[in-house]
Amino acid sequence: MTSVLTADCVGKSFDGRRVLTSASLRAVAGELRVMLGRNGVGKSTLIKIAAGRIAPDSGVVHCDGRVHPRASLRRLALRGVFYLPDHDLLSNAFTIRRQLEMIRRRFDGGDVTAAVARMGVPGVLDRRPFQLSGGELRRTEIAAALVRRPTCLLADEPLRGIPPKDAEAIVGVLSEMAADGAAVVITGHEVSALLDAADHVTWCTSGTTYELGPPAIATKHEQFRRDYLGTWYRASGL
Amino acid sequence: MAGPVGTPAMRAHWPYLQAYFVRGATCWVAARAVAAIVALFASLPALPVSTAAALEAVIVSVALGVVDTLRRREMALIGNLAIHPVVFIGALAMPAAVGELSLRAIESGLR
Repeated sequence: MTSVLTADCVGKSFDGRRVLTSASLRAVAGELRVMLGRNGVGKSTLIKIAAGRIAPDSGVVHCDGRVHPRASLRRLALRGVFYLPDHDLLSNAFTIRRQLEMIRRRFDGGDVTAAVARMGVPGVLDRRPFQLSGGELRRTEIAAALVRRPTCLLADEPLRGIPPKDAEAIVGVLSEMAADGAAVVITGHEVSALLDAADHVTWCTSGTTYELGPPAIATKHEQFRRDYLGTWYRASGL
Repeated sequence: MAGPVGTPAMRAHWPYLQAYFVRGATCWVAARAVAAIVALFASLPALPVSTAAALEAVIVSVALGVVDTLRRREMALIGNLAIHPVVFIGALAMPAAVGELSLRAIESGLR
């Protein structure tokens, strides 16, 4: 289990409100890790800190075996990290083709046409993000990650606003990326689709994180069931 | 950004550099146009080419370019492309600097 990126013992407050006290995120090569938690518990904040988008009040980011006291997305991107925010990855100023070509040329990435075709949006290349539906845009953003071929993908709610069938396809692609050796960490609330594909579940609650292990074990965690899953696990038959 | 134009390193950077050169040029034209209109209303020279005016134009162009980039929420894209802030600012400043030098050359030629 090679840890590609770790955000360790992270604390963060906004305007005096403590969001994270001591939370950790670990991205492991070859694993699809899912971070679950209720709204406002700091999942997005933790993933942003791990990606170098915001600075933590305490804690540290390790990437590629090195400590990054002042982690920035630029430095981490040079080490193979790709951050997919919950919105606004792609700019409305340029066409999709142009932006994916920027990524491909910058990092000697994968084929742009093949990536959008694989995500089921082959007709988007000459359009701009504002001309796409929410689902098309999300799949296009995953296509950007495919073009990048990252060693570590941090995706914040990649399935938000996606119908279940398309969500399955996206999770399938993310699983394939993990199977190819990438370290993938995603957040979201689409429990069924996420747990089906996850290798590991992290639960974010009360400013901290709990490593619950594989989904089969995680769904047996009594407090996780009670405080997050609710009645879902009974309906799912787990 | 190592190596001259045409090397693999330059080719890797060119697509986003080109995009921000165009943005920098647009901002410079807009800044100069607004300044010229204001100057005309104030009965001042429309296109001053002093060093101070040139520096101001470059700084305003870069500031407009940065604001436009923030407004378009491109920081995640820029971060994922691992663009160094100096390269980004340089790409926005370059067209303004070239434009100011061109204005100076034209003004000298007309004298």
